[in-house]
Amino acid sequence: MLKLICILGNRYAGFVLGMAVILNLAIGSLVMDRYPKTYPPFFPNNLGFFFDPVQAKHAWLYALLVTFSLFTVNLIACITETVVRMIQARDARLKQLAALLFHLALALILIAHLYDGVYGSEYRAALDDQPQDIQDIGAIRVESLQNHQHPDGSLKETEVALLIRHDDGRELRERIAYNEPTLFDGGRRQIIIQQGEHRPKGLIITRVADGAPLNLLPHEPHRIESGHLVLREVSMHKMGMPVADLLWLRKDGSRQQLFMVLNERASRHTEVELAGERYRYKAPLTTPVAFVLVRYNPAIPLVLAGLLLTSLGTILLIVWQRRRA
Amino acid sequence: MPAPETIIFTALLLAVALLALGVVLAFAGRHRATDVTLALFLLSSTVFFLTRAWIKDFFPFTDKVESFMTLAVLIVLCARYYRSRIAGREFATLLLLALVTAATIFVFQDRIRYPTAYLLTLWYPLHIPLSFAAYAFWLIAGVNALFSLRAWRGRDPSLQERPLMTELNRNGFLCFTVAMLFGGIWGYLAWGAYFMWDPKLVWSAILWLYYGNLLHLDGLPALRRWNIPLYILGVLLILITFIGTGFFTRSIHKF
Repeated sequence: MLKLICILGNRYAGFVLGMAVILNLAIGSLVMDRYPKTYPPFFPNNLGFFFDPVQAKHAWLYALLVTFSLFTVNLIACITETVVRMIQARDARLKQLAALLFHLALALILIAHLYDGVYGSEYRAALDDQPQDIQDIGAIRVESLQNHQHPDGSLKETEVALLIRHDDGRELRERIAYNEPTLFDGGRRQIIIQQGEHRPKGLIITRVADGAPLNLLPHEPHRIESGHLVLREVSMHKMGMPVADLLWLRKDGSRQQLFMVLNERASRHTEVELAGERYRYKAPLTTPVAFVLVRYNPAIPLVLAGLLLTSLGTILLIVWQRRRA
Repeated sequence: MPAPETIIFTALLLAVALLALGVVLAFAGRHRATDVTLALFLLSSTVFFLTRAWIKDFFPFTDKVESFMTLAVLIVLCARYYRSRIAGREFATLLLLALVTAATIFVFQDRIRYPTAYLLTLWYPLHIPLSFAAYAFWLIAGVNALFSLRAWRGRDPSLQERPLMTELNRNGFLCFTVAMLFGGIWGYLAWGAYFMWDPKLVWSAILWLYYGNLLHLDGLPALRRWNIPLYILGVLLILITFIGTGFFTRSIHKF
């Protein structure tokens, strides 16, 4: 058995396989850069992407999987052999231990990456002030959103307050921001902010006579004395100004299409007349919208173990270097 | 009080001029004068970095000018640290390499901008200088190998044992490992993934695997004699990772 492990864990084979992996990665990088439509920035991490459908362009990845698998087998055999030798000799030197931890961590991270590549998933979602079901997390809505700017006006930070109602009825308030996702299930599930803004969803108009406000939401009829007013949509005029498309439905069944320019400077066109009263555009009704990435990586515990082993290996190697010095 | 931009430009110009003087003095074998010049170079660079940090209200490693300057400073520091263990010409060549790196910034238009939201995390300033320190260690190993190339072609058996190259590689590997750990944590928090198929990340993985593989050379007698060309090839990989992916690819890490 030990002989077989020694053959599988041959150091020379490991070195050559390592170089083969490096060559494959280098070729892969060039291919990915050559075909940006096939491989856009942030393209999915999952391995299914490369097999649905199988393409000649992905040949580098198929070769990489083969070389990485052989490399991992060699690595595991090498680790086993070292551990057996350490136990037999009842001696573990600091440098050997550090090297062992690095190799263990590498093997773990490779396996974790494969696991994530097969079983991991991600999708993008736009969360707003209405609850939205996010699989395996619950119903989420945005409570507030704030964008902070640098003095030159560029974006510094986006802070989003989320209200999460889990399937069991528990409610949880979480804050997300750039580099500060909200984590669930021991870090396996994440909600990561990608962008946040306040989007117009309706408008506020006021009656000119007394300033009484009316909040108009799309396709929700609003009763005004002798009829109903409906906001059909807000679109951009060819002159570059936002325009509200309104429908005035009178009690007698007649209807009238009205347009209101949503720009205070265009004063004459910001007013409409309904049932003898004049109404004026006041402000947009906005809703906070957070564009998020919902990510599931089942391999996070393995990655954390790899991280821990690497950190330990690094510390041991530093201690060994210092003692040697 | 001069404008911060003026302070930055003056400090930069002074730093590059001092480094150029240091190169000349190092090639002339004037050790003490070289040391004084390099100390002044570091002082001038510190003024450059502090002023930029003050303007940006963040660590000054977020654009190409700062990146090239950081690498130049780290090459100088590492070269100075190993000076007693490398030949005078190697030391001077390393200073020349640092000078070329620092002088490259004059090719770019220096627009001082606030960092983007993704960069405003502690993981970023922990990740970048450590990566560059690794580049510096590995570049010194590469220059050391370059100066041994003639002897290697003559099949000098003493070249099979190169403890300095291994030590430099080990230090570089340690720095790069920690840098990758920090970068991985940052990637997980910012984009939900510690690794993506991005040219910069792929080439960083290549570098880590490559130099990790080279650490095994001492234990492989049949391959040990290839250490010189392999360390020289490493310099090319560093250039691709730092400059190639930073300027000539569609990487999200592009400068």
